[in-house]
Amino acid sequence: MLGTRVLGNTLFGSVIGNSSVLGGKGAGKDKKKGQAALLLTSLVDSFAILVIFLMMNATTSYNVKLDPQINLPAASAGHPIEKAATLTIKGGRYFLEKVELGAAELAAAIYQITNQKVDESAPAHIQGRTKSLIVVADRNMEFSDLNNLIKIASSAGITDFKFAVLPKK
Amino acid sequence: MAGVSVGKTSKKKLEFELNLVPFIDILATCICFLLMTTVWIHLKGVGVRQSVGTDSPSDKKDPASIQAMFSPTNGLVFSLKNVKNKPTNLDGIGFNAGSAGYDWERVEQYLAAVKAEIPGLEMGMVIPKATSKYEDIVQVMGLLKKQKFNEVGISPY
Repeated sequence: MLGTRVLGNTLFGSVIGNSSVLGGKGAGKDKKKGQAALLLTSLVDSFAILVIFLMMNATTSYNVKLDPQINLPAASAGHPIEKAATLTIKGGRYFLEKVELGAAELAAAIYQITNQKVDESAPAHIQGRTKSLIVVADRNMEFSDLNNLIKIASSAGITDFKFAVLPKK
Repeated sequence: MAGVSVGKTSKKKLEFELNLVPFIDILATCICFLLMTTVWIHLKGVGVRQSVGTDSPSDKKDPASIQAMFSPTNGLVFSLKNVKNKPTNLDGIGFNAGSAGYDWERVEQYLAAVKAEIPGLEMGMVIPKATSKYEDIVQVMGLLKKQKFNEVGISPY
């Protein structure tokens, strides 16, 4: 009976089968050696579930790299963000693709980066851009900073603004 | 009886052992890769279309719209512009900001009521003040989008 059980086969099969308990040459000398075999089936199951969960969590939308000092606002509705130039507003300063620019040079830089044709020689991070601007700003920012940006970007021909938000549940 | 054997029969025991260790290695590699590349926070974007120069986001002249104006005294005031037969009970509605901010659930209910009363109303305009909080502006735009006001814009000062 012990030999037909799974537990018996994996844990005690080799010990009971090989050791001599009563008499024999090895009586008193052989110590019971406990051999433990690890059940790998459950480990494989948990790993497979974890892989499936992480694969389902993958997204194909454009990943915006955030500044850890910026707390994004939450909004009830939103759409996935497409690949576009990212402008970060932090402390009244403007960072276009992580490069700080003044108000005077911001319009030219936005125009250049959004109207650049798809070119193989162009850097990878600006290829395939749409004529829109992703705005990343802290939730406690005042509208005065955004107001300047809207005017400057509009002068550069930007009509679509995408304000990065956290989805609100 | 387990079986009837006639004569000498040799039963071959077929024992098949599957080595799971390489399979676990592959799964562990996949997990490590996915953990490093997965995105835990899914960002969304609230889209706004602005007009440039003489362009207008809508082809209609004086299109009907709902305006959300941030006022330092009255809070957030919604008004209907160029709407035919506009319901008076939905025009000029204000929401004051309490200690915890605006009551966004009430704002959402109001917008849903406006959309139900005027289904053809598509345009929404947000008119903030210089000191208006960015979070409140984005919240209003998000609620307008949620209630299917598809043409949402911000009016700079």
